[in-house]
Amino acid sequence: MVLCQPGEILPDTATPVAPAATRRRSWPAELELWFASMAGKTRLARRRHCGPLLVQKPFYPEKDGSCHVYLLHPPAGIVGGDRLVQHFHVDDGARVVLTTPGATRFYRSLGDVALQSTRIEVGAGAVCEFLPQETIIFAGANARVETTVTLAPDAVYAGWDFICLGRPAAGEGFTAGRVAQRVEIVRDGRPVWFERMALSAGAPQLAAAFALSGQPTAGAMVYAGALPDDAAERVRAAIDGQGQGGFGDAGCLQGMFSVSQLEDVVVCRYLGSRVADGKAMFVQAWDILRRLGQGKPASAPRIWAT
Amino acid sequence: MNGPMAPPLPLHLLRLVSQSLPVGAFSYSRGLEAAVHAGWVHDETTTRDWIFGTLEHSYAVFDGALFLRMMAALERSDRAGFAALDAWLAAGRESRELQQEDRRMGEAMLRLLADLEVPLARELAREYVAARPGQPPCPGGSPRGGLSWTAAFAIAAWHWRIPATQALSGLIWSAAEAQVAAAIRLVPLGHTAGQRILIAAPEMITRAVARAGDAGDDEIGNVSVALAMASAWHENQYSRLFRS
Repeated sequence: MVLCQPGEILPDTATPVAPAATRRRSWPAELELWFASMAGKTRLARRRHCGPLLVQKPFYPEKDGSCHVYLLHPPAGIVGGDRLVQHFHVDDGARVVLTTPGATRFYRSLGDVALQSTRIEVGAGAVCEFLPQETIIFAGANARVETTVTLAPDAVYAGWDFICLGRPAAGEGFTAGRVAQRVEIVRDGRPVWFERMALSAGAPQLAAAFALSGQPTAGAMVYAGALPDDAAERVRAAIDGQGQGGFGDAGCLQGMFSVSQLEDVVVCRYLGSRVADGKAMFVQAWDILRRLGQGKPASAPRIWAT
Repeated sequence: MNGPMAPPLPLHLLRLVSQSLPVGAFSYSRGLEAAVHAGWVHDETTTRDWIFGTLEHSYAVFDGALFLRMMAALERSDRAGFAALDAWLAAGRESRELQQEDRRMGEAMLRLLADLEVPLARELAREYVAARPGQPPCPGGSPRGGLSWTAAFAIAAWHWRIPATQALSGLIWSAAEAQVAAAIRLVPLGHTAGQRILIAAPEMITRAVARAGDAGDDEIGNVSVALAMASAWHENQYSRLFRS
C-alpha cells in the first residue's frame, strides 16, 4: 500500500471514481486541519492534505464566528485497501462544524479492509461538531470506520454517525461484507464514551430484536459537554411520539428514536429505514442540546438541504 | 473412590454467583422490561433469543473480553492496567440506567469485599474515598464513582483464586439467571419455561466464553442497538418493576 509521504501536497484534482465493482489502485488519502480562534472568529489556520481528501473555503453562517467546513472526498467511494485518514486540531476557544456534502460510500471490496480514520483534538473552551452525512456500506464492502476524540476538560464535542447497510432503495440488501465502526471519546485523559458496532452479512444481529431488528439504518449522536440535568428530558419531550416503540409512522418521521443522559454524555439513537428521518430527528436533538449547552440554535449546513 | 477424580467444584464461585450475594442483581432487568413493554419479548422463544443473543453477541465481546484482561492484569499486579480496563468498560455503558446498574452493583460488591477484608478491595475503597475528599464514599467513590460490576467481580474471583475462564462462565451465568428471573415476572413465563432456558444456557455460555477469549483488542465491544434504545426508553416508562 502506498502511504502519503510527509509534506507531500497533491493538486486539488481527482480522477472520477471507477464504477463500484471494478478494481482500481487503492487510494491513500490524508487530510489534516488546524483551526484557531483569532479576533472572535475561527480560522482554518493551516491545512495539509495528500491524496483525494480536501476542504472547500470555510463558511461563516453563525454570528459567533463558528467555522463551517465541508470535507470532500472527490472519488465519492471507498474501496478495499483505501485508507482515508483525517486529523482535526481545534485550538483553544475555536468553534468548528464539520460535515460532508454527500454520503460516504464503501464499495464492494475484493477482501481488503477499507479504512476511514478520524482523529479530533479539541482544546480548552473549544467546540467541535462533527456531523458527516451517512455512511453507506455496499454489499461486499469490508469497512472500518473509526473516530477518536480527545477533549480538554471544558471542551465540547458533538458527533453523529449513520450507517446504512446495503441500498434497500435500489433493491440491494446487505448480502455480503462487513462493517466495524468505533467511536471513542477521551476527556482529560479519561474515556467518557466508547462504542463499537461490528456487523457481518448473515450475522444474527441484523435480524435480531435486540440489535438491528431487520432495519438497514442505525445512527448514534453523542454530545459531550456541560448540559443541564434535564437535557435528555427536553429532547425526549420534543421528539417523543415521532419514533418510539415501533417502526411505523408514529409521527411524521419513520423509525425509532431514543435519548439518554449519562454522566458525561447525552446519546441519541436512531434505528429505521429512512436515514433522512433519522437526520431530521438528530437535527432537532442537536438544536435543543446546542441551545442548552452553548446558548445558540442549530445551524444546519446549507448543503444538507440540497 | 473409583475412576478418575472429577475436577473440584469451584465452591467460591457458586457463592459469588448465588442470589444470596448482597449486590442487588435482581432489581435490574437490563432493558428486558422495556423490551417486553415494546412487545419484542413475549414468550419463551423470544425471551431465550433476547437473553442469549445479548449475552453472546454483546456482553461476551465487551464485558467478557475486558473481564479476562482484568483478571490477567490482577495476576501480574498491574493496577494501572486494571484501572484503565475498568475505565474503558465504564465508558461503554449504553444508557443512563445501564451505567447506574453497573455502578451500583460494583459499589455494593466493593463495599462487601472491603467489609470481608479482601486486601485489594480495602485499598481501592480507600483510594476512592481519598479521590473525592468530603464526599460520601458510596455512592461516589472515584471521580467517576467507583468500580464497574465486572471489575469488582474480577477482584473477588482473583481473591478466591478462581480460574479466569471459570469465573467468566459464572459471571455470564449469573447475568443469564437474573435475566430469566426478570422474564418470569415480566413476560410472564412459568418456572418450567425459565428452567428450560437455563438448561440451554451452558451451551451459549461456552460459546460466549470462547468468543471473549478470542477477541483481539480491536474487536472489543459490539453494541446491541435495540437493547440500548429500549434501556433509554425505560427511563420514563410509566409502570416499572425493575430499576433498569
